Amino acid sequence: MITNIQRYGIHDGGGIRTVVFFKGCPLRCKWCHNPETQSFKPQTAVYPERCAGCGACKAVCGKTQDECGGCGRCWDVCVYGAREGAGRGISPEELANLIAKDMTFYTYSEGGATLSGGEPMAQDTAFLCELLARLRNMGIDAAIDTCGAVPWERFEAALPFAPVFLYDFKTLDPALHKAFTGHDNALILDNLKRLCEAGANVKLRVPVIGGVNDVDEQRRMAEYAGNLPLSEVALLPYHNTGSHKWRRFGMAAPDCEFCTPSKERMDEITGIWEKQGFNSVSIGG
Amino acid sequence: MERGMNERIRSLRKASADAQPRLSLERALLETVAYRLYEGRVSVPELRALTFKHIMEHKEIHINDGELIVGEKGENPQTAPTFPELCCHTLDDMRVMDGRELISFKVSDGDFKKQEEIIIPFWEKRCIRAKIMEAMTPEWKDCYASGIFTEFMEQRGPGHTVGSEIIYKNGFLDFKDKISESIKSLDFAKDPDALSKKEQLNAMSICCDGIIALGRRYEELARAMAGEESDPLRRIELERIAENCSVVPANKPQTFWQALQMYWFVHLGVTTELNPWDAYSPGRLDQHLYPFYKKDTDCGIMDEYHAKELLECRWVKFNNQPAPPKVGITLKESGTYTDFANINTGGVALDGSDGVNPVSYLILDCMEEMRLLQPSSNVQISKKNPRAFLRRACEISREGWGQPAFYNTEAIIQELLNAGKTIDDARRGGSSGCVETGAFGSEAYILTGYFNLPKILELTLNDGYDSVSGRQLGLRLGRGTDFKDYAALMEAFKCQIQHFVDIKITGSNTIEAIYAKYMPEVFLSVITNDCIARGKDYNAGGARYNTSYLQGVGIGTVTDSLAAIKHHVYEKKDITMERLLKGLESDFDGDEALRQTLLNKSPKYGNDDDYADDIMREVFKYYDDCVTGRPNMRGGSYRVNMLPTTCHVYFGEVMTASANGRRAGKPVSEGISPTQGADTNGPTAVLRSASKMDHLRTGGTLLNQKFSPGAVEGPAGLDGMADLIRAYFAMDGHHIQFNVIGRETLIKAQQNPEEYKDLIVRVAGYSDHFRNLGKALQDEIIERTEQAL
Repeated sequence: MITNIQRYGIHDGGGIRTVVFFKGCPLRCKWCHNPETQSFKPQTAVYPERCAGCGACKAVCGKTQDECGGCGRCWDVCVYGAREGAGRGISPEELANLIAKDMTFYTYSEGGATLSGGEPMAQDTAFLCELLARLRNMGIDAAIDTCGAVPWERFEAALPFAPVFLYDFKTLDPALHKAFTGHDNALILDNLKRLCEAGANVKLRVPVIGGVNDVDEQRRMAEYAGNLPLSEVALLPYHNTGSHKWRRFGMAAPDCEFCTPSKERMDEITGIWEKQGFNSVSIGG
Repeated sequence: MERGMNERIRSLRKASADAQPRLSLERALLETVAYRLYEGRVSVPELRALTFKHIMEHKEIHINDGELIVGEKGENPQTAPTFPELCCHTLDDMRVMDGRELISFKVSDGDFKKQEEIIIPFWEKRCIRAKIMEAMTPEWKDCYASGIFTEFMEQRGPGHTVGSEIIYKNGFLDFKDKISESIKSLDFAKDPDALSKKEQLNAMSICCDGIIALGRRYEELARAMAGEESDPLRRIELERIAENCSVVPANKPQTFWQALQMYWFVHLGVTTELNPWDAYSPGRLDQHLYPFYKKDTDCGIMDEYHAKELLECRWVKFNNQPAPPKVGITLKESGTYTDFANINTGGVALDGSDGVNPVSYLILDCMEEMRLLQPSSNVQISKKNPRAFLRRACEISREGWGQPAFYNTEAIIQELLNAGKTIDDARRGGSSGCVETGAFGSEAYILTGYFNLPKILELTLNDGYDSVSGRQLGLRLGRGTDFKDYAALMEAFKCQIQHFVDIKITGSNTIEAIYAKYMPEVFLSVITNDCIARGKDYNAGGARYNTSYLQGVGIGTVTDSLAAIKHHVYEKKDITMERLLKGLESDFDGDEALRQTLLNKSPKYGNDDDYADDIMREVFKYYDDCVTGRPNMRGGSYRVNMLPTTCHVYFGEVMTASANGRRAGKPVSEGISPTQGADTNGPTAVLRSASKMDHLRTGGTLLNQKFSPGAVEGPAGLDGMADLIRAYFAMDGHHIQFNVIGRETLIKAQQNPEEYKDLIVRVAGYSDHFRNLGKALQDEIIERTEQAL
C-alpha cells in the first residue's frame, strides 16, 4: 500500500527520482515527518479549513476520524478537498509503469526510483521483489530508503536485484533508540552489518536531531560506521515540518520537541564523519 | 547597490534604469516635413526611403557621458518616438499615455500642441490604422472588439525578424553595390515588375545613404567633442568612437568594438524606419562576435575586461529603448516597456558543431551582472553544448528573475526544416521575441495576433452567442444542452474554431496587402536576404522565407474545461449540462459545490494524465490543421505558435466563467503552461504533459515553471534544473523559463511595491518589473503553481 508518489525527488539517491511512499512502518519515531505512513491501514486526512459543511461525507459514512476504516467513500464525495485519503493498494505492474513515466528524466540525470515510506522493506516481500524485478528489467535504478528494522530474510530476498540501500542510522545507543523510536537497534545494526558483508551498495542516512544525537553521539556513530565498509553518508538536519500532519490525520503528536541543528553544528558534525573517511552531504540544511 | 562592472557602466545603467519613459515627437515632425516635400512626387518605397534619410540627416544626436557605443532613437535614454503613419494618436490617447499608472509615457505640453496642430491634421486619414479599420468586415470588427482575437498590425509594423552575420561582412557601401548590380540586371523588356523593382531598389539605396549619413554625423560629433574634452582618457575614447564611426556603418567592421557599433546603427535604422514588433535583435550574437573577439584578443588590442565593458555598454543601449507607446487592445496584449530584442547565446555553429565559445560565457557574465529587462537574454541549448555552459546558465536563471530562458536548438532546427528552410538557414536561426522560431536574417515571420481558444469553447456552449459583448459572433450550432454526446460537442467546437480562423486570416491577408502597398520597410529590406536580389520589399514577400503566425492562447484552460465536461457531464453524469451552463453564466453564483467539483475532481492538463493530455493534443492538432499551410499574401503560409505575452489576462477579462472552475474575468492559462495551480504532480509531470504537444509542428511554444528558491538550492538543485531542461528538450520541448521567487515574496511585493522596486519576474517570454504589472497579471503570477520539494 502506498500513500504518495512524489516525482522530481533530487535528494533521495542520485539524479532525478520518483519517490514512492509506502504505508506502514515498524518504528514510531517521535520526529517522524510522515506520520501517515506509520500505520499499515488507510487513513483519512481532514482539512477543517476547507470544509464547507455540506454534509456529503456524513451522508456516505457515519464514522468519526478515530473509527475510520479507510473505505475512501468520503474522499470521493468531498468536492472541497476537505477529506483526503492516505493509503491505496497498487499492483507492482501499475506502480512500475507509473515510475517509468519519468524514464527520460532518469536517463538524463542518472536518476531512478526511490522506495521510501513508511518502511518499504516491511511491505509484502513478493510484491517488493516483483517491483524490483520490473524496475530492473526496464533499466530503472532502484534505491530503498529503509530503517532496517525488519527480519534479515526480507533484505536477503531483495539483494539479487541489487538496489541501493539508503540506510537510516539514528543512534548507536539502544536505550535512546528504544525511547525515541519504540524499538531498540540490535536488529538494525545487525542487518546493516550483514548487508555490508553481502556486498550490498549501502549509503547511510543520519537524521541529526537536536537533543537526541548531538555531537558526542555522532562521534560514536561515525566511529562505529567507520569500521564498516561504507563510504557515503547523508546528514539530514531535523526540521519541524511534519507537525501539522499529525493533526490532520487525527493522530496525537508526540509530546517532545526537538531542535533544528544550526549550520555551525552541521558543519561540525560533517567534519566528524569526514574524519572517519566518509563522503558526506547535507540535505535540506 | 548599482550593478555593472565599473563606475562607467554603473552610471550608464543607473541613468537607463531610473529614467521615466517619455514620448518624443521629433521623428513624427521630421517625417511630416519629408512627406510634405516628397509625397506624390516619388513612388511609395522612395517616399519611405527619403523620409528615412531625412530623419537620419536631421534628428538631434548626442553622445552621453562615458558612452562607448553611440546612438539613441530619441533625444535621451527612455525616449520613445511615435509613428503617426501607422497609428496617429488622438489627444486622448496621449493624455492616457501621459497619465496612466503603468507603462506611462510623459508628454510635454508643447508636444500636445504639436500633435494637435501638425501631426493629427496631416496623419489622421493617412495612417495605416485608419486604412485597416476601413478595410475590415463587420464580422471581423465584432470578433476583434469581443476579444476572439487581437490584431498585431493596427499600431505597429510587421517585423518579427532578426539580424544575421551579413552586417558584419558588408558595410552599407557594399550593400549599395549589390543594389546597383540588382538594378543592372532588371529586364525592362520582359519583366512587367521591372519598374516597381527599380523603385524599390532605388529606395533601398537611399536608405543606405541615410544610415551612412547618421554614421558620419556621429563621427563628426565625436571628433568635435574630443577637441573640447579636457580629460585626456575620455578624449582618446571619443577619438576612437569617431574612428569607429568613420568605418561603420559605411564599411564592414574591423574590430569587436566596431562590430558592436555596427549592429547598433542597424538597430537604430530598423526601429526608426518603423516600429516593427519585437524591435530588432542581433540574434546569434556570440556566433557573430567571436571572430572579432578572437582577432582583437589575439593581436592584443582588446582584453576580456574591455570586451565585457563594451558588451555592458550595449546592454544599456538596449535597455534605453522602451517599446513603442501602445494603447487600447494592443497595450492589453503586450502591456510592457520591454520590446523583446532577444539575444540567443549558445546553440550550434553553421557547420553544426558546438557553438559555445568564449563570447558565449562573456554574454552570460554580462547578463548576470547587468540584470536588465532589455535585451531579453536567453540561451539556446544544443545536445552538443557542454554541461558547464548549461549549468552556468542555470546558475543565473535560478537567481530568480527569469533570464536566461532556455531554447532547444535541435527543436528549433527541426521546426525550421519542417517549415521548408535549408539546413544552413536553420542552423543560423533561433528564437526571437518571446519564443518565435525564425531563420535569422532571411525570414519575415510575422505574428498576426492572439487567438482566444477558451472563449471559442464558451461560444460553442452558447450557440455562438457572446453574452459578454451581446453579439452573435459564432455559428448557430446549438447550445451545450443540444449536444448529445462529447463527440458532438467537440465537433461543434471544431467548426467554431474553423469559422473564427477564417475570419482572422481573411482580415490578416487584407492587412498584409495594405502594408505591402502603403508601408514598405525599405531599410529592413536592405539587410534581409533576398530582398535586394528579388527587388522586393520585406513587407511584400522580398524575404527568402515569408511566414505568418497565429498565436494560440489558453490551451490549459480549454483542455481542463473540455476534460471536466467530458468527465462529469458525459461520463460520470454527476453534473448536468443545464447546471453547468447555469453555473458558467452566473459565475457559479449559489453553486460553489459545482465550482469546487470542477476544480478539485476533474482531470487536469499538466499532471501527465493522458485523459486530459489527449484532449490537449486533439485541440492543438485541430487548431494547427486549421491554420498551418494556409497561404498568406507574401508567397508564404500561415503557421501556429503558442505564446501569450500578456494576452491571457485580456482574454480572461472578456470571458464568463469556464468549465474548469475558473471565475469570470480571471486570466486564462498562459503559453502551454498548465492552468495556474492545476498541476500538482511536480515539474516532471508538467514537462511530460507539455511534451505531448507536437512542438516541432509549431513556430514556438512557451512554458513557464515557477520554483520555490529551496527547490533549486545547492548542487543537487542546480543539477536537477539542468537535467529537467535536458530531458524536456530530449522530448522535443521548444522552450522553458523559470521564476524562482517564493509566493510570499510576491505577495509582499504586491502590498509594498516601494520596497520591491527592483523585483523582476518572468511574465511570458520576457521579464518585467513586478511593480510594472497590472494587478490581474500580478495575481496570475502569484497563482502559478510553485514547484517545491
